[in-house]
Amino acid sequence: MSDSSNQDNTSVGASHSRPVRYGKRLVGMLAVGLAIWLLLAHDLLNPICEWFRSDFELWLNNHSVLAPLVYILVYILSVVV
Amino acid sequence: MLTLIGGGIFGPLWGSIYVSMASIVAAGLAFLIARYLAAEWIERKTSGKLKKLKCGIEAEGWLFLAFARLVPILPYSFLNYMFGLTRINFRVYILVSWACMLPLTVTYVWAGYAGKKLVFGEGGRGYYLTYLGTAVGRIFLASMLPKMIRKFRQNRSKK
Repeated sequence: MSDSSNQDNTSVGASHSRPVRYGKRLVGMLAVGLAIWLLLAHDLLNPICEWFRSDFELWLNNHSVLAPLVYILVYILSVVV
Repeated sequence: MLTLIGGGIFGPLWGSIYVSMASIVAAGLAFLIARYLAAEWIERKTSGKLKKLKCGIEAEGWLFLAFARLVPILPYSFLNYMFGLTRINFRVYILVSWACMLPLTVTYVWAGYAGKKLVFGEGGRGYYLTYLGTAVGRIFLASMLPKMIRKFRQNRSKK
């Protein structure tokens, strides 16, 4: 009896967690994709890309300690979570 | 992907240092979480593959870990948690993981750096070829390492 109820619980949990998990992955991939596109794209919205790039590089140069720390933190979170 | 981005942002030297630091801290954290906090849950989720991993560690010790790091068959984060459930020593795990992840880390960081240079057109055509050639060469060398390790393991098991 208890086994079957456990199974039911896990299956319900799995069905709930799966869309959430895929949703999180999708949002993460979209965010990374957008960042890469803004960094690398040449033809589309060129001025916006250039502003973003120059702002980003300025921020990197001005925050020589914080920038690597943020990167390391994001990396660790993406691996552990 | 994050390793490539790291190379593009920080360049080959600092990119390699930061990515290496981040990856080893993440590997250590996941290992400790698996060993001390979520052992039962992870064991339930990964029973089949965990058995193979445990057998491998029992039979070959750190060499199995080295092989698993050099040949990225299983996802990196998944492996970190799985190794937390084996009997491997934490210090050995950190040291071997760091040493064996380094070649691929440097390769991907360089590829990210070269990719950025290519996309933004920094430098002339000669630079393009150098960046591209070095990136391809490094990826080729990194892909040869698993074969060498495999041969080493086979020779060791024959003895």
